[in-house]
Amino acid sequence: MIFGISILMNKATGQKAENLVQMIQTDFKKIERYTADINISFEIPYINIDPVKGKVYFKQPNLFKVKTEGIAFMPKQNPFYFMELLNDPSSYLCIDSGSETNPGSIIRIIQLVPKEHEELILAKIWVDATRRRIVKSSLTTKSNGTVEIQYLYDEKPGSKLPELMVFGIEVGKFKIPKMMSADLNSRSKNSGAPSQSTHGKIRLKFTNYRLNQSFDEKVFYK
Amino acid sequence: MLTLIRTELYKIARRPRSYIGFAAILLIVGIIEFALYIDGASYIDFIFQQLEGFLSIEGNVLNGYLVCFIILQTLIIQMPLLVALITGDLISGEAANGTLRLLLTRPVSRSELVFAKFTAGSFYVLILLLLLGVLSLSGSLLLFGEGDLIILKSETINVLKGSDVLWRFYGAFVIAFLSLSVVSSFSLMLSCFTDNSIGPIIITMAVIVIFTIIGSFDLPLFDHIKPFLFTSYMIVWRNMFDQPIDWGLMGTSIAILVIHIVLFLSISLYYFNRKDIHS
Amino acid sequence: MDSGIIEITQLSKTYKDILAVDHLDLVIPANCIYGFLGPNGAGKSTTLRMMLSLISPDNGIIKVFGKDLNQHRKQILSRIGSIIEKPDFYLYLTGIENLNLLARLSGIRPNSKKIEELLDLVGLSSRGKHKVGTYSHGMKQRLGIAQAIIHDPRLVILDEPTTGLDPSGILELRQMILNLKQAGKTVILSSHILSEIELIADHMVIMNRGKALVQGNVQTLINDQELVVVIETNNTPLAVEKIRNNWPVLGAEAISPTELQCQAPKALIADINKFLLEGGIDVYSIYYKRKLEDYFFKLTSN
Repeated sequence: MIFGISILMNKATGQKAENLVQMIQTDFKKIERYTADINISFEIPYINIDPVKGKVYFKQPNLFKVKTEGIAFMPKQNPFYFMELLNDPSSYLCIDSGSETNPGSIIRIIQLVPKEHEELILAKIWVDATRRRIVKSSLTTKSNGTVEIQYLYDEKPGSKLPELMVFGIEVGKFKIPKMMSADLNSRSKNSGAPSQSTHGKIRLKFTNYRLNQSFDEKVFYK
Repeated sequence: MLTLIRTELYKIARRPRSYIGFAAILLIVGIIEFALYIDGASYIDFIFQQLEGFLSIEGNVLNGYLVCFIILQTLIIQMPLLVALITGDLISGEAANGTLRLLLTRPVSRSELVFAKFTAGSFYVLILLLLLGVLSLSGSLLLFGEGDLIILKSETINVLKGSDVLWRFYGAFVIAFLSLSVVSSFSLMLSCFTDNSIGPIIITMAVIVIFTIIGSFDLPLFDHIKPFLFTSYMIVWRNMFDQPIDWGLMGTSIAILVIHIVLFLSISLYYFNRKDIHS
Repeated sequence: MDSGIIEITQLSKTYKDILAVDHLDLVIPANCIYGFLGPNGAGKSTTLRMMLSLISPDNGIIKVFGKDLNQHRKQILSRIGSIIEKPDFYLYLTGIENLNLLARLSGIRPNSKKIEELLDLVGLSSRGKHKVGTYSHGMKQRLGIAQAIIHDPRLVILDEPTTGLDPSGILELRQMILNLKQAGKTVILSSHILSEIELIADHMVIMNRGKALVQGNVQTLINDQELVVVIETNNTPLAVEKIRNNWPVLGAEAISPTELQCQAPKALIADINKFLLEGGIDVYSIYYKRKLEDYFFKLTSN
């Protein structure tokens, strides 16, 4: 068994980065579209908001929309922004940045540098080479900075869609004009003493995936 | 006493000036709702522009609850004026018109008269607030729909679930009623001191404006004064939208507002019972 | 003092340094028309307002219907109707609405038939449904009388009730006051029209500088005084000299180039006329000044 695992691991580290990326792309392209139920929870400095339920819609190559029952704060980054890039291997440089070892898997770190893209500057992905799925990404865009996304999957074999996506965001300090604020002259302790941290997290928990079922595509444009 | 209260209510209802308040609320709420209906989206974008760099907001932000909250915020100064316009005139107006002696040569006690006028004034406040509530809450919900309520504080944002909002508005209206009752009792007290119809109204407004300005300055000197200003507690209705609600502060503020009402009424009774009626 | 419907004992009121009412003692009998006289600033209005508890006295006791006003205020006021100074009403209400409102406050259920009768009595039946803001001063005065008696009070206090009324109105008011007395009510009438008081009042008080100068039965007070006779002649200085020579006690004196006055009993007037004519002096008119008017000016000028 140890021999089997080491063979697998050798195979995983031995694969070229480009090949690994293409394999992920191929797997991903098998899912033309999906919807799922989501539960979004927030840990954002300066923002107090309870978890929100909603639905997520996805269509190839990178249309991704979250529709919530209430108000939700979402990162501006589309997590599938870079997947479109992968359609054309000549449009990016693929740089193998090494690997990390997790229990039971090898995580390959690959940087994708677009040769010419209007928005994307750099996409860094952490790929579980054994299971051929992305476990983390760090996307840097011109207008929205860097967003890190962690992907957690359930234990079902062959599971390619995440059970949980955790977005890590940097929140700038903001100030609302006094006349618009609801704590003008406030004596409340809950006026909102802001935390010092600027790092926040938004967690999307996916359930009830419905793969390749049709839905009204107007949802992406509303 | 009941006869006196009914009489006072009747007089308020028959007086043309009483309807200025209703007309003003109708106009202000109508204008705000119309403006937000037409241009609310850009207003929301302007407010949240600082967040746009790193977050986008999903959901129906510009919903009836937010519009209602905006309306209530803008009416902080107007409502006390609309109340003082009627209650500041309840005794001094009668003195100026000569009808005070008409009343006091009837078998009514002066204390009963003061209580009846305060009660009638409070009823007027209640009707005014009900109208405000119906127009701002129900009207906004009809126009803009339901949704979560997003509350902007100077350095934080609170989002309250739509299902968790309505009872907070009811609580806010109750506290607003108490706050405006302080205004009503204060202006009634001033009304006892003078035979001039307009004086108590102007003085009430001046006091509220000055106290509010002092309350809005974050100066160490004013910080010592603020706890003694009744206007500092009048805005506590906004704390109904905190998460979590500071019930200790709410309780204290409500108690202080009630104490002010009792104090102003007591002074009114003391003075009016001893006053010589020359008008 | 005999007890009356109102008994005032040592009543005083001071405004800053001015003693408006100065230890006033007064008894107003029941079932009469009582005149309140005095020049401006005599303390009449202050006294009337104290009777109605609009003003609190510094000292003294007011008893109405045998009860201390201070302790039985509501009970006493339920049996008093009044007009103090000009009658003021709620201008945005009609005459009928004003009367309804005031009737309720007086503790009676307004009866539309009674209100109609009352408006008819004061001559406002055609204006009852109009807002009081459209009334003339005279109409407001009439309405004032109506509100003073709507609850059938035992005591009615009227301060200058004839102000703004035309002659027929004054006549009607006079008759109304007499009718009130006949109905067993007491009417306190404060007026500057001395002829009115002389004509209808049974008792009176003349006040000046916060004090009661005289009080009592009107006729008794003024009949004690002799008539002041005024004679218009073609030669007044000669006429004065002749009367002085013949009747020195009459105190004849010229009051104008053509008129002289003297104090004479009624019975002597014909003799004075005859005397002047026989003396070659033409007499154009003889009349005597209002008794009360003269009495009033004599008292209040001292």
